Amino acid sequence: MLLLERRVEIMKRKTWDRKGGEKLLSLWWFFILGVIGGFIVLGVVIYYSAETNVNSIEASILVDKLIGCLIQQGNLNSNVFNSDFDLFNECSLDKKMFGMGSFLYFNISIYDSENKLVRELVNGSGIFESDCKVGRRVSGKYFPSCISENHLVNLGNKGYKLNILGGVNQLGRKISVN
Amino acid sequence: MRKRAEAGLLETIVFLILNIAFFGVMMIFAYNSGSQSFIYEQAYAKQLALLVDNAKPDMVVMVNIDELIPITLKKNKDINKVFSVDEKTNEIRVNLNQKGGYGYKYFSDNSVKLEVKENYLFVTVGKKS
Repeated sequence: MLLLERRVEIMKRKTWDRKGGEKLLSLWWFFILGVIGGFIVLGVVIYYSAETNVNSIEASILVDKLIGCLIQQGNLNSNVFNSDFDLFNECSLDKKMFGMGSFLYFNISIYDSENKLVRELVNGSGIFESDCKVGRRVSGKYFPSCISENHLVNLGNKGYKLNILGGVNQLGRKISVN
Repeated sequence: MRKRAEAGLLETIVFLILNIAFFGVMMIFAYNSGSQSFIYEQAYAKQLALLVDNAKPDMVVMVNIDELIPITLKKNKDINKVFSVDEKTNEIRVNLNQKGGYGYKYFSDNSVKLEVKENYLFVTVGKKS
């Protein structure tokens, strides 16, 4: 009788142990699912958050535009030395997009044959120049991309050296529709 | 005995429901991620902004938008409302989603008109008056 009671008790304990084990297993199961799901979400988020940086292409277009209106058939645009020279109008650039705090920057320096600076046209934040130097060495999302070009040009019978630096630091933005 | 059986059944049902919920959420997530609409929005907005900056007035450029048609159908979005331009801020906007899209600015002094005809986007660049 005593043996029977003991056997029943052992059977009961085994049943409870199995139940507890199953519960523990299902908790573990959901933990594993959560971890797998979390990594899938993380992978997709990392994939989609990667941005294509086109700043260097944009800087190149900016410099090309500036060269196109400052140099005409190998000669320097004669209006460039006029005090009322409107670079934005001449180069088809939208003035409101430039200036301090803008994502655009350019520096046009014209040197004469004695390497003396005779004209300088700068627009945008001066911090671009130092950031561009850093950006060349370190690849970072928030550093601007810059393009620099040097040209030898004539105006009348004088020779000039034209240095153009263009920089762009545009990030683009997500738009929410309300 | 009956109580224990009911408890066991309940546990099994909860277990099944949680599993179905998990896999359901993952399937919806994978379905929504699969369209890659955000990448297309970004790519087209940047491509169009660069195109406008590089274009000369009176140019018309045709851009093939074949790959966007299935996405607009999936997202239930009118293809004619996907592309827009804000001339005040010089921003090209591409909205493939109902909730929003992506914007990228151009710097040239050009006026821009975007028009969808069949599978092409016609970008008409003019001089701002």
